[in-house]
Amino acid sequence: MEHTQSKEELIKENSALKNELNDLKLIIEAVTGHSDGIESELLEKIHAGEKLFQVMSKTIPVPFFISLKDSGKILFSNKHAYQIFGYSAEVFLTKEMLDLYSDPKEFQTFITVLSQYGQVDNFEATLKKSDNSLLIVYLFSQPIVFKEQACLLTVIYDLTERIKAEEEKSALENQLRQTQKMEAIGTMAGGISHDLNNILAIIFGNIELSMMILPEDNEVQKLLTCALSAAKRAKEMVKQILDFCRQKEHERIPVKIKQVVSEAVGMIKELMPSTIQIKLEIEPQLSTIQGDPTQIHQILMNLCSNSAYAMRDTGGVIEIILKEVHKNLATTRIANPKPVSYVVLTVKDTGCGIEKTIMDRIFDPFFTTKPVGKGTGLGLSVVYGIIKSFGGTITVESELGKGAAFHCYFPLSSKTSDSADPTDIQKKVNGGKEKILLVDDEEDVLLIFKSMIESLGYEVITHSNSLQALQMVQKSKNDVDLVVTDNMMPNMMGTTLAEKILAIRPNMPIILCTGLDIQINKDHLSSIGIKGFINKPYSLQQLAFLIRKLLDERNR
Amino acid sequence: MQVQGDKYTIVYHSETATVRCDGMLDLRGKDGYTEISELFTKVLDQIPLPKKIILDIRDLEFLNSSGITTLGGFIIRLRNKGGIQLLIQCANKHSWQLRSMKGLQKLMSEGLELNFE
Ligand SMILES: Nc1ncnc2c1ncn2[C@@H]1O[C@H](COP(=O)(O)OP(=O)(O)O)[C@@H](O)[C@H]1O
Ligand SMILES: [Mg+2]
Repeated sequence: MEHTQSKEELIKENSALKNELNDLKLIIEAVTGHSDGIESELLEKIHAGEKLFQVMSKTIPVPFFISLKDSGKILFSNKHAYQIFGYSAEVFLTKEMLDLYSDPKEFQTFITVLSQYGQVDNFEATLKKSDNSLLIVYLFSQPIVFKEQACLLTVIYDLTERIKAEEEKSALENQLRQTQKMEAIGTMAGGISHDLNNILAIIFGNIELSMMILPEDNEVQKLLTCALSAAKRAKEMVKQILDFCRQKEHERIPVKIKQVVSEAVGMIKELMPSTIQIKLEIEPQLSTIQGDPTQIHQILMNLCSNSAYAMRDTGGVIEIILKEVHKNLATTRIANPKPVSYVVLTVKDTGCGIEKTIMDRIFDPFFTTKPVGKGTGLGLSVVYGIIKSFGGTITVESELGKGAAFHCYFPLSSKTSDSADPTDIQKKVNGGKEKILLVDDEEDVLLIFKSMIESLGYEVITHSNSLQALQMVQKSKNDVDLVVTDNMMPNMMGTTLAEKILAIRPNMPIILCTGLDIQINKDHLSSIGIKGFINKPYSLQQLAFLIRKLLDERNR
Repeated sequence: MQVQGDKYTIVYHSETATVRCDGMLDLRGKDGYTEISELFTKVLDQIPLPKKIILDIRDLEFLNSSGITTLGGFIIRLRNKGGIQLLIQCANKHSWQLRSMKGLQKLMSEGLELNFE
């Protein structure tokens, strides 16, 4: 029947086809228009992207360049990148990545890393500038597509500044180490000087005493004068050492060592690795010692860090023990060659121990068995110096492979030995155990007479400042048994000091030392209440006699 | 109803009779758009048919030429159903939409409204 389609039907079909054709036309138009529109929009975006890239590469202060992945030819570089190499942009764009390396082998490594990981991070490379000088950098490379080619974006991190900063830092550290060395020598010299001063005081005192006792025309006077001037030279030398180290004698105060040690141990525990255990054992009843808390910290730090080092591979235990002992130690402290009470601080470890052959050298400054950079060899010498300056001593027990124990002996601050062991001087005069306050503005005189009076068994407190001496008497309760004071003093005359002391302690026996050149009305002094006077220079015998006499009078 | 691709989403919300096209439509050729075309068919085969259908392309960033052809096909079929209004919601921020949608509007001289925001 198809061939007999009616005319109407044909017309209808025709118009439907026309409509369809029209639709197709419209769609084609729409598609073409659409393509043009979206194309131009995309182009705009590409241009905007390119512009952004240009702006970014100019602005960000990081040198980077883009190179072809296979040939390494440089396609793009920002200003920072070509400038860091000292090239112009044009010349830099003729280079390949390989040209930038000072060692082609290093470039090979770079390529290997890149192919292995797909990218490169923190690759340390030594590159070559246009003038062939070297540039040490970290490289960061990422594969990217640039202008439709497989490329590599490489960012350069210049290490020159950092290396310079590190060099400066290590120079500073060296300087610091040097300062520490000097400080250590200072501390040590300070300690030794203290001992020497004590020895010298005894030498001075005895020479001067001998000169006083002997008649002036005695032959031996000349020899003694000679000995005296030599001793003065020695004293001057000690002073020079102290000046050189800019070390004053540390002001020593009574220290509650218990507290100081537990505090320091608390700190040290924080610093120790977990493989090292710290045990602290403190006797409940402990006297105070004469010292400086920060220096006690230092002692513990130095000993514990040595112990920690000795146990660095094995781990182990550090035992810190604090107790009081009564002991006769062969120390250089001449004033006390008899059994004395000490507080002992022991630092004991389970480390590698110390070889017998080096035992007598470990306290030497700069003696170390540690590799360069690990030890200064000053730790123990500083400990030694500090303890000596406290008037104490240090001993060590150790066997190879069996750990080490360091014992630090600190003399007690208030009590001196009760068992007065008579010395040569003492045989001639009577001593005692009372507490005597000695006031004289000349430190040297104080030191000599302190040792001399101490050698009689008395306990001696000295003050070179009369005002401070007065304050001390005001604060203490019946602590001082007798006062010996110089008269001519800058802050307060001895007579005034005596008057003020007697105002609070009417029964205090006071001995005033006067120079021969000064006329003093002894009746006036007696009326104030001063019971004794002695003319300078006086002998120890004279002084000892007077002290004993006044003390006995008071007791009666 | 929904067609979800890596870079695009086509969703039909029947409550509002809205077809939403979001993202980048750059599928390959007529075959690439089969699934989307089927979604359009389902929209037009609904019973009852909504009086007004909304085509929301405000978040359509990119559309390639096969995509515009598919949309054109949808409009022709909708027009041939008769009696359905079409509102195309466009965005000025995608500047291609103005020119392209004006082109498509010619396929449906009555009952197609363009709204730009
Ligand atoms: N607790 C210890 N165990 C083993 N050896 C030690 C211990 N303390 C010190 N020594 C030895 O004494 C040496 C000197 O110690 P020190 O004066 O602190 O200097 P440094 O610690 O810098 O080497 C060390 O190098 C080490 O050989
Ligand atoms: Mg050390």
